[in-house]
Amino acid sequence: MSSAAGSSTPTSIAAQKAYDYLFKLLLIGDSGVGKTCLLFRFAENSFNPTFISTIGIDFKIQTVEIDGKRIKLQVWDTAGQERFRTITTAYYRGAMGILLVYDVTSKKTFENITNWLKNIEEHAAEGVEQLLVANKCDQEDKRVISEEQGQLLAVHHGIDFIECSAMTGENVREAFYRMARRVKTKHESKESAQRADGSKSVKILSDPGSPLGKSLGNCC
Amino acid sequence: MSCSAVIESIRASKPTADGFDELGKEHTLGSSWNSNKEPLDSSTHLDQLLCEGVPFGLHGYIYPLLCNTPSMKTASKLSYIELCENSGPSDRAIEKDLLRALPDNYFFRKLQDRGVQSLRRVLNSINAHLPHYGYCQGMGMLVGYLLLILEEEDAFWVSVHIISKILPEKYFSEELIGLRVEQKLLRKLVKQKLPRTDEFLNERDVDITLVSINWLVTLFAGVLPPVMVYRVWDVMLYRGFAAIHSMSLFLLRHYEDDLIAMPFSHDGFKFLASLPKRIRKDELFIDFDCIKLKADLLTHYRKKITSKARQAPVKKMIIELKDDDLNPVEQNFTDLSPHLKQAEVVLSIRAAVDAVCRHFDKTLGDFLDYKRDRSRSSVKEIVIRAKVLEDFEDLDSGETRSYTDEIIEICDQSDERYWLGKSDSDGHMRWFPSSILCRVSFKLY
Repeated sequence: MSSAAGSSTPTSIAAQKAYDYLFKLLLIGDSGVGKTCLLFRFAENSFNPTFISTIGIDFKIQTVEIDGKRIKLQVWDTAGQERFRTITTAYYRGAMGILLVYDVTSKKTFENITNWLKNIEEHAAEGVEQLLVANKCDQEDKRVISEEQGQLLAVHHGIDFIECSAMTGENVREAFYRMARRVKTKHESKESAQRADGSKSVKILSDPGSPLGKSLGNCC
Repeated sequence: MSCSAVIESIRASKPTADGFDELGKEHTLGSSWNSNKEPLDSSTHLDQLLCEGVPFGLHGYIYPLLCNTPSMKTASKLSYIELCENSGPSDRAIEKDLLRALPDNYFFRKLQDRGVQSLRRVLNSINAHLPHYGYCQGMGMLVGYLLLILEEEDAFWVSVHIISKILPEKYFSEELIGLRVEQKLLRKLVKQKLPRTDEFLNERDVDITLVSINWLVTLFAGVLPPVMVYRVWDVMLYRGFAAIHSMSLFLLRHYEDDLIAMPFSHDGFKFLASLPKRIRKDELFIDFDCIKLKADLLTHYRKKITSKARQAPVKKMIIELKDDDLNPVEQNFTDLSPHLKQAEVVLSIRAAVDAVCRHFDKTLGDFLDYKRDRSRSSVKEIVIRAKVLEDFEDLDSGETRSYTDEIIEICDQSDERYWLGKSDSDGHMRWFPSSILCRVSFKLY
């Protein structure tokens, strides 16, 4: 186990007991599709139409409970502008789930999903869980990408799909829960496979090299 | 009147209860400056005054002087008004960010607000004036903050000065190369100047770039309270970009003890992210000289980092070759008809060659540029020669030809049975049965 775990102070024990798993999720997609708003809706359950544009990277923590397990989600919010990609892709490593967001009122953001998928392929861990998220589905009058189109793209790339609205809150919780559930299932099956191997199971939930990686190892 | 004299005279004036008198005095001073258009006095005295803090209402007068905007205006072919008119339709990326630059400010809330309108014009004019930079998120905040203290036209020229003169090369470029260099530079400075922090960051695996990117892209506008943003920019306009690093190091130095006492890396990280907010709460006086930064040290580091970065692509190229490229793909050609099979084999060979090319970071076209080679007259051609082993019957006339033991030059061997050859002795071109020829060594002409 990491060196940080060795120095367990009373606070650290409390912190360790607070959750069963810690997962790192990532929000990516073009500038202005509403990544920050989605995260804000999920974490604070409210809506603010004008956030300062995310510069570089930011993250929020939200704890959810699924099947009796407390899961701490570390959700990373990234800048969408093209020129920040070289910087943001550095933080893909260690992510266990990635939410790809586009805006149903903007064709361009939908078309760019293919590029974002390429980024994932190049920079994220293999087998990372992915979810295609169509945001702003409340704006029916401005919609240019139908639900079917989104669904089709998701099927084409073999990933899950959901439509939601950060403004009304529709399906936002559902999106993050679905992702958390998928990561959890995958993680648990990996864990039991390890146990079956006879190896002493140690929960390292993120690769040790990732930023903050050592802290992530402390969850068990 | 010199810049320092103005700051001093303002400082000397006693603020009244309602502040109006002071404000009035500032305005008269400002107009005397404008008429004066004296180039900036450069002195340690001014530097000291700027570091100590410029009275809030004065930034608007001092910035154009520090940037020498009058000379920028004369040097430019187009005036700001003309630039506005020539900048064409508003950039889409700019439009997206207009309401996201200063959303909490009264003048920047709705598209029709005055601040937003100015912001749109200034950003698009910058785009037109400095086309090779392009719009980068973060510029909006820079311009927005300047618009709060300056007239629109001055805000434009000061922005241009900051982007093109103060910021390091390629700072806001397409790939943010300059910005990334500064990120590394800051990390290097921490290592050298703040060894305890450096040790903490290394041991706990805390990535400071996650936090510092926001500091650097917005030049602290995204994190510090406005009054303090201008404090940093006052010094930045005079000392250059080093002021930004000084600010970062000041923050880290001031809270170093608290930071390294953090038990876990995520606490440390959160603490780092909260530093700019903390300095407001603690009402800190920013000391830009708490860690001395020499300009040549920064230049030296920058050079080192960029030369390393230049070598980097080679390393990356090798990593990019995936296992799939090297492992032969198992293919079953047996039940294909012959021509399909042949095509498949050719395709898989092509893919293999392609992978090799990619390994050397070249496209197949570059690698196998036949056309270029053929056009180059200096390229030596390989000539194939053969020895005639026995006499043979001429293909056309049926006569016996006796070239036995002669060396001929093979000109065409596309046909399997007959090769076109040129005799060295008589210079004639003839068809030779390939069965009676024996290839001799290559010779280069």
